[in-house]
Amino acid sequence: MKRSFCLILSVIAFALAAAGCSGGSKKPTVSMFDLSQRMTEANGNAENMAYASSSDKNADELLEHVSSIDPNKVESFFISYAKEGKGDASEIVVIAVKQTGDAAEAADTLRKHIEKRIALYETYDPAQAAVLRSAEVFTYEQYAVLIVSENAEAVRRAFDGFVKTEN
Amino acid sequence: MKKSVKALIIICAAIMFLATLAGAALAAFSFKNTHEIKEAFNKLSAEEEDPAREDDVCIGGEYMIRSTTDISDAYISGDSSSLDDRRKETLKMASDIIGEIIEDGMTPFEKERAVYLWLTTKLKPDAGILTVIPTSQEDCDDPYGVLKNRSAVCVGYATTFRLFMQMLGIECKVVHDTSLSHSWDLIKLDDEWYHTDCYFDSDEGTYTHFNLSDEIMCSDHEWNRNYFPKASGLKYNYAMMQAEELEDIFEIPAFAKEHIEDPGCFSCRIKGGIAPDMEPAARYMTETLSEAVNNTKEGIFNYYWAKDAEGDYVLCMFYSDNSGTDISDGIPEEMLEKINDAITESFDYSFEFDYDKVWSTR
Repeated sequence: MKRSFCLILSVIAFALAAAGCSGGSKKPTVSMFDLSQRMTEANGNAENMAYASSSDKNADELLEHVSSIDPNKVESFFISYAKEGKGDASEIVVIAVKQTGDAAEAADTLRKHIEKRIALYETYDPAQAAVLRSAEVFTYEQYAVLIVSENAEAVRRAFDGFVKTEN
Repeated sequence: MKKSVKALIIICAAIMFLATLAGAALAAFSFKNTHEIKEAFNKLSAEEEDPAREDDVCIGGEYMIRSTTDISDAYISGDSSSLDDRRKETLKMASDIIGEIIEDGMTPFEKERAVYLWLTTKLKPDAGILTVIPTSQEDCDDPYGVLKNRSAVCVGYATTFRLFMQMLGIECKVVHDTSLSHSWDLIKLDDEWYHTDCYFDSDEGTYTHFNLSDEIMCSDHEWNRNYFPKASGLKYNYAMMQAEELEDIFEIPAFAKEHIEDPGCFSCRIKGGIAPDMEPAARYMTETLSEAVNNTKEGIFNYYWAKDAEGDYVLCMFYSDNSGTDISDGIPEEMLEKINDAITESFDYSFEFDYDKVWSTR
């Protein structure tokens, strides 16, 4: 009886493990604030940039401005963007997803966001539309990253340096 | 049945039951997500398509074009009892402005011009639409907020202009572009339609986008021409109305220099018209003139050639003091020189220009 009971318990544990989602293990997500500081500094225009993140009360609404990904899939994010849109389309977005497999989806939503920004700027500020066209979107582990910057390389290095060091 | 076999059957049954439960839970979760994603996609698709209607259109993902016929109807009828307090306040603000700028006996064109000048010189354009998380003044897309705060995005300019026109009994529509990122107005004068974009002309009222035909407007605007009326009017194109006559194209630079001291619109036509074999020369003259002005003056110079009702070319020029955004903005001087040198070396093309020769009077 005891043996049967133990067997059944083991089976339950096994079934739950088998039926559950396994997203793969991922390294801990870095602090979005600290990461944003490094990347915005590298952009070289920190005093003209505004900041929003998953720490804000209306985080889901804020996220919608840059990505249509289901907020439930997002662990944390930050958006660093030019306060004055006219004459400056600078923007840095990092979305950390809960499951690494969702990073590609997050990156796709960032690409769609950039397409809309390009369309907007082509009407109002064509010079900045050119900057937007050279935007970088990439993924690294659980992170989806967007960089719109005239110092994109430096910003990218800041990301790599911080995320890879912290992990 | 042996006990061990019984136990095995129980174990298998347990596995199947738990797996079924887990599967059902996952399916429900996925369905919910799929349904939500599908709904979001449908919403996104619907918003991304250019709707064939005038009102209830969302511009820039943030600003709504809304009808204000209840306000203009109340003004015309003198009965505002059906308006809520906010609409009543809008009516009062708009009526006061009409009282200031519209005089008895004005023609519809003169009324339109008075409203255009008021909007383009008294309001501050709100560029919040361009920030990633829009930071616009509240209600900058609605006549209430526009008239109260004197700040507007394109939708605010367009709907407020339309409100004024409807109050003055002039037919007017708010047009939006195919990318749903901008809006302006179509106005009917003497049975012909004209485009007017107050937002683009804001700050100076230079008439650059005042009463334009489709042919001229399409150079920097794109809209659903199947839905909105055709604008072929030329009679009230302001630049054409002001055109002075010059002897030949070689008088154009001196004419331009004389008028550039006062920012605004100035235009000319050539006596006897421009012969077909002189058209390339005329275009080259104005292209070079544009380069000279924009490289030597702080403001922005624009121009276009358009045919008037008689089929003769009119050169319409506009100069504003706003420096705007130049593609070379933000590039260090040394870098600009290096770029110019690299191009000159490869194409044997010199950027040196004898501006004294261009600006001398004949």
